[in-house]
Amino acid sequence: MTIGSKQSLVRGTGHRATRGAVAGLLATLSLACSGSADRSDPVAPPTPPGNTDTPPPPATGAPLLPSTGLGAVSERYTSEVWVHGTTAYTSTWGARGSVRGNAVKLWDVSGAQPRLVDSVLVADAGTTGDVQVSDDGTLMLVAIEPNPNGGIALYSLTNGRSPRLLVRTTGGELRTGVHTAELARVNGVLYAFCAVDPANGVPARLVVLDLSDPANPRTVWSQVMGAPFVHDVFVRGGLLYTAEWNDGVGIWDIGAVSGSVSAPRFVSRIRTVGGQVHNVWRLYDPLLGPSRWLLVGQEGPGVIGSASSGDVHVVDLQDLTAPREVAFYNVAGAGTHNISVDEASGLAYVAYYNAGVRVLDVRGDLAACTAAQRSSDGRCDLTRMGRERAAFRGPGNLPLYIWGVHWSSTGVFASDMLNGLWRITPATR
Amino acid sequence: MAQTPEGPRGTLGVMAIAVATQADPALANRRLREGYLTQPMLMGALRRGPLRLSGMLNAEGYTLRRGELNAGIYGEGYVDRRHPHTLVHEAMAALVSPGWQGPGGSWQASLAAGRGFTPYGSDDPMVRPFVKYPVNHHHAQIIERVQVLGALRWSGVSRTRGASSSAAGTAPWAAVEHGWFNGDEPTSPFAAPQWRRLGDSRATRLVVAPTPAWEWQASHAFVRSPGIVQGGAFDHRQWSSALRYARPGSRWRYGLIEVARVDEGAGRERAFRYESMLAEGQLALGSWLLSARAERTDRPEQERLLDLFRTSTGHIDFQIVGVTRWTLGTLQLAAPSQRTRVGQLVPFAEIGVAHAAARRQPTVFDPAQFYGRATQWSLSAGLRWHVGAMRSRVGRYGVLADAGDAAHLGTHGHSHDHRQ
Repeated sequence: MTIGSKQSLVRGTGHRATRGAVAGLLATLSLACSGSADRSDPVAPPTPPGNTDTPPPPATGAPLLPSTGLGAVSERYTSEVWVHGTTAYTSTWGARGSVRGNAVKLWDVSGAQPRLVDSVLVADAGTTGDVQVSDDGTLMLVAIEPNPNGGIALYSLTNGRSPRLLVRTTGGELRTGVHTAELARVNGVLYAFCAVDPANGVPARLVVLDLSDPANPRTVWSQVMGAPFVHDVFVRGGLLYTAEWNDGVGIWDIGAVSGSVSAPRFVSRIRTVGGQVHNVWRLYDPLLGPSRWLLVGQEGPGVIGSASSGDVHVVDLQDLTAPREVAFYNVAGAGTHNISVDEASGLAYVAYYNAGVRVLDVRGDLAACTAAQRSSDGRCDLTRMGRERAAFRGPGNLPLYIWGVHWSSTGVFASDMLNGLWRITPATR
Repeated sequence: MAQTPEGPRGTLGVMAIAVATQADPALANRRLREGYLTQPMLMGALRRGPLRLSGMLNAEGYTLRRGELNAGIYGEGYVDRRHPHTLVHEAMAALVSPGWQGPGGSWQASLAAGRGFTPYGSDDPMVRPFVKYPVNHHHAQIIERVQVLGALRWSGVSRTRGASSSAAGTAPWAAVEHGWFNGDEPTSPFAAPQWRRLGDSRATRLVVAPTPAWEWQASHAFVRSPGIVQGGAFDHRQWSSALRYARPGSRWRYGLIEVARVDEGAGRERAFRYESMLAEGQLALGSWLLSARAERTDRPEQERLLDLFRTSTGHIDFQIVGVTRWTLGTLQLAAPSQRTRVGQLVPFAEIGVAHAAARRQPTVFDPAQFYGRATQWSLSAGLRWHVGAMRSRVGRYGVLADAGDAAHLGTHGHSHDHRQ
């Protein structure tokens, strides 16, 4: 623009102007200096000083669980783990260097050390963030990101450890990326519950696929959900629990009473402290059936590989229409991710990213605590209640970043983004 | 364009830069050589009585869809390539009040509305000397938003004229601006803003100009969910302060020292912080122009898409995969402007070196592993073409537009001749 251009040629006007400029410079630099003073860490949650985080030890002095072996993965970042029989399945994430997370690895876990037996590469995948095998061991479901090549892949496992691709979806509602995909059988029918990523202008949604014909998945329910996204689900006893981030946990009847998978009936909602609801697990007692307790994983802000935040929350479902949060578990300097429960022993294995794995005693009344065991907001603190029973931190000071943990009758396995698949000695009561 | 002693009634200009760039390594230890037609723009302004109109059309959506190789740059789903800007880059209208005498000098106010640059941070890199943008573009500017903004300017007593003066004189002046705008970033060069989000974000800027050559600004912005247009992503709280010097015709043409900070979080709870410091300047060597820039900026790393130069917008799971500190140096030499039948032509060459280091360990984004080396070199050569009136400042509306005219900057070829 040239308006008033002549004035631009006028020179400065002496010392007063110079002093003003110097004042401006000082003000500018003072802001820079104030920034420097507060530069210790780009992540706000409490972290150890310096640039290198070491896994925080258990606050209660709970025993450390040893590993019996590591199935090392160095070329990709490892994400989810699932175990069926003596085979473990791990998915992969993001890009390590220029190698993408487009692989699912199959491990023989019959021995002390996981042994890689095969891998499948998923077409046009940048992240295979979730993997699960059906209860009958015949199907493997893989969730695929990113946008716009998202979707799912279904593999037949009828040839044991040689998966055969049945379908890799493209386009449609899943195209923006499937972040998690859960297999669950409701009234004898196998379904895939797909948490679909939002994109700009495209809200997140939950899409449920009927897998009666696995090669031709059929959408039976699709619902916009979550703020800003739905992250995960848990299905048990005809109830669907949806992890809807800042919208909390939704509870839906999909077969328990009058609802169905294709026409779920909304039951209730609970917004846990801090929101950021990432995953849920409805506890069952092997003898008594559904318990009162719902474990809710909160995933706070984090820097993948080094820092994390977020608590485990306990919700009382005694009145399913009016759930309430009664307890929590916090690890200073780390945050929870996925949960797997040994229900016969009443022990919950909780992946805690840079803090490894924590084992919580979830048997009994989780809302029964003394005044000294309560936080200022009245919730019971599981740590003060002595319910932290064990931890896995890996060998020495090796940095870990545990994405998932899976308890099965075969053993306990933890997927470590940085190192691969750990087999962990199970905790005992 | 007509010009009167009171200033031109209107201006019109068109520009584009043809540039070839070699980035080594661009990523995965690969050297890339590419050519672009970058910053193709049509710009105009009209001034009639109290009304000020300004507009810019940017055609990068047609010429730069894959993005331009630019070490360290990120934003709007592009990374290590600069994103194309929106077609309607600016369309602003402002009404300026009559001046009035008040405490210490004369005062004037304005009200502006439209789509354009918010009252935050420093001048957009497009009117600065270099063809490659600084990494801190999204730390230090918030642009292409629909906004309503008010401004109040004070002008002191002119030391050269000995009387209270408008900003068209040499008097010191100061101004404060406040704007309300939509927080959502553009999702494509042709995407419309989310009109329902107008007003969910805000920015305030204080500008002090003790002389026509020196100017200091400090500004703050709150930007609601820039990463996910429908809302729900982290909010940004941004701070910027910059000291700017511009004296066309002198040996030291231009200088800028800038600091900026971005906090990401929900409400007042901060999750991540990124900081930036930048200094740049321009020196006239006869009729050649030598420009240099030094920068240190923190960049969030996000999961890459299948195209490794792209990311999703908004952080998946509110997580990042690391913070990279970029330390960069850039040098540009621009030849004397050549007046031709088709317009002004300015040949230039630009070299840049960038060093990337992870701020935290362990990290899943290791710059040396990802790029192949921790240090990247960039070499560009090109030709800048323009016809008509160019702009030396952008993002100045109403009383600021009038004031900014007093500090014409000669950069990026603009300095040689602003009109043809």
